[in-house]
Amino acid sequence: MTVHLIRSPSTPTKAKDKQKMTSQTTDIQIWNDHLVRLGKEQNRDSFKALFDHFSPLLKSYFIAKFPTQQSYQMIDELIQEVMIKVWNKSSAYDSNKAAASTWIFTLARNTRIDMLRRQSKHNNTTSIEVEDIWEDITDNGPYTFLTHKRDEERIRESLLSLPQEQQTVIRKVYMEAKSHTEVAAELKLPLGTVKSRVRLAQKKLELLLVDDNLEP
Amino acid sequence: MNAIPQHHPDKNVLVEFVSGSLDHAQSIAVSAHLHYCAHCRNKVATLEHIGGTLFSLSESADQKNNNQSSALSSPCFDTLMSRIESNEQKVTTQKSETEQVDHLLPPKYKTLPSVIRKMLANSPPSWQRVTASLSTANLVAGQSEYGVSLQKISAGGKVPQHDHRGAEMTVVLKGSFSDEDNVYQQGDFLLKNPGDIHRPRASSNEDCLCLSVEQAPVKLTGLFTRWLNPFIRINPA
Repeated sequence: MTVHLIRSPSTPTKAKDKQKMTSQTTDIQIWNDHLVRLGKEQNRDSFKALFDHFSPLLKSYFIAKFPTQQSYQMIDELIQEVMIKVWNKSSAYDSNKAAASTWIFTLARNTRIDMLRRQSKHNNTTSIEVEDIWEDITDNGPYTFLTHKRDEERIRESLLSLPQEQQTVIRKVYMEAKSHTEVAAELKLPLGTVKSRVRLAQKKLELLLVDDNLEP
Repeated sequence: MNAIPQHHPDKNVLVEFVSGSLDHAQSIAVSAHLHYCAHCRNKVATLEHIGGTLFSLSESADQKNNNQSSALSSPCFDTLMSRIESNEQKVTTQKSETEQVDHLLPPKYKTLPSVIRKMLANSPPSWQRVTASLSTANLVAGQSEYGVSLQKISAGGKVPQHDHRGAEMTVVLKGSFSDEDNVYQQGDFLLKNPGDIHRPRASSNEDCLCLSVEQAPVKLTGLFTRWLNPFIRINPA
C-alpha cells in the first residue's frame, strides 16, 4: 500500500501538554488540538508547532499557483500572511466543524485569491474583502463535521485509488486553483471531459464523507 | 427564511468556488445563494474538507515531483511573531468597521446576504427605471468581466421573451418569479447559458428582487432587461 505518501506522524515536541498526546492520537487531532489551544490561550508553543507543520504545506500550495522563481519572495510573504490569520482568527476555530488542515486550507485559498486580485488591474476599487464572499461557511452551517480520525487517511487512500487521469485533474483544480476551462486547455482535453473527471473523482471522495455523515 | 431553495449551482461550479478558481463576480452569486441554502453550505463544507485533505498531502506530492520548493526558504518564525505583536491592535479596530456597515443600510436590506449588503453600503444603489414594472441598479464589485446588478420586477410584472448572449447567474433575493419551466423563489440560483431562451414573470403577490451576474461586455442587460439593449447599458464596475 502507498506508504510512501503517508507522512510519518510528526511529533510536536515543543508542545507543553505532551502528555495529552497518546500514541493513538492521529495527525489530524494533533493539529486540531494545537489550533484550539492557540485560540483559547494564544499558546505560542502551539503556534510554533502549527507553523513548523503548515508552512511547508503552504509553500507547496502557493508554488503550485506561482511556480516561477520570481514569485519566491511573494510566496514567503503569503505564508506569513496566512500564519498571521491563523493567529488572529484561531479563537473562531471549532474542531467539531472542521479539521485544522481544512480550516487553514480555506485561509490559504482566501489569501491566494486576495493576492490575485491585488495583482489584477482592478486593484483600485471596492472594499469587498475576500472574506465577504468566502465567509466562514463552516461557521454558519448546521453542518457538523465528524472528526473521524480515519477521514484523512481514507480520502488519501481513495485519492490514490483514483485513475491517474482523475487524480491529475482533481489536483490541478484544488491545488493549482485552475478553472475547469484552464485545466481543459492545459491538458488539451474537451471541457466536458474535464468536468466529468472532476465529477467522478469528487463523487468517489465524497462517498466516504457522506456515509459518515449519515450515521447518527 | 421563507422557502428552501430548489435550484442550486452545479457541482462543478461549487468545486471552482471552493478551490478559488471561479470568477470573482460569479463567486458573489454563489456566495449569495449559500446565504439561503443550507444544502449547498453542507456541500461546500464537504468540498473544503476534500480540499483541506489534498492540501495536507501536498507536501509529499511536492517532494516527489520536484525539488523546487527546497530552493525556497521558509519564513522565519521570530520575524513572524514580531509582526504579529506589532499588528495586534489593528486587528481589533478592523472588526468594528465591518459591523458599522449595517447601520448605513435601510432596514429592508438587512436580510440580504452580507456580500450584497457590503456592496450596497459602499455605493448606494442608483435605480434606473426601465419599464413600468422593471428597475435595475448596478453594483460595484471591483472587476471588469461581469456586470453585477440588482434587478427589481414589480408584482405580476412580465418581461418579454429574450435569449441569453452571455452566461448569466441569477439569485432570487426576495419574492419569486416564474418562467416556462419553473418557479424560482428566495435563494434559488439560475445559470443561463448563451442561447437559453425564457420569459420570466414576477409572482403577483410580491415584488421580486434578484442579483444578476452577467458576462461582459454587457450589451443587453440582465435576465429581465436584456431585450432593452438599445436603451440601457450596464457597465461592469
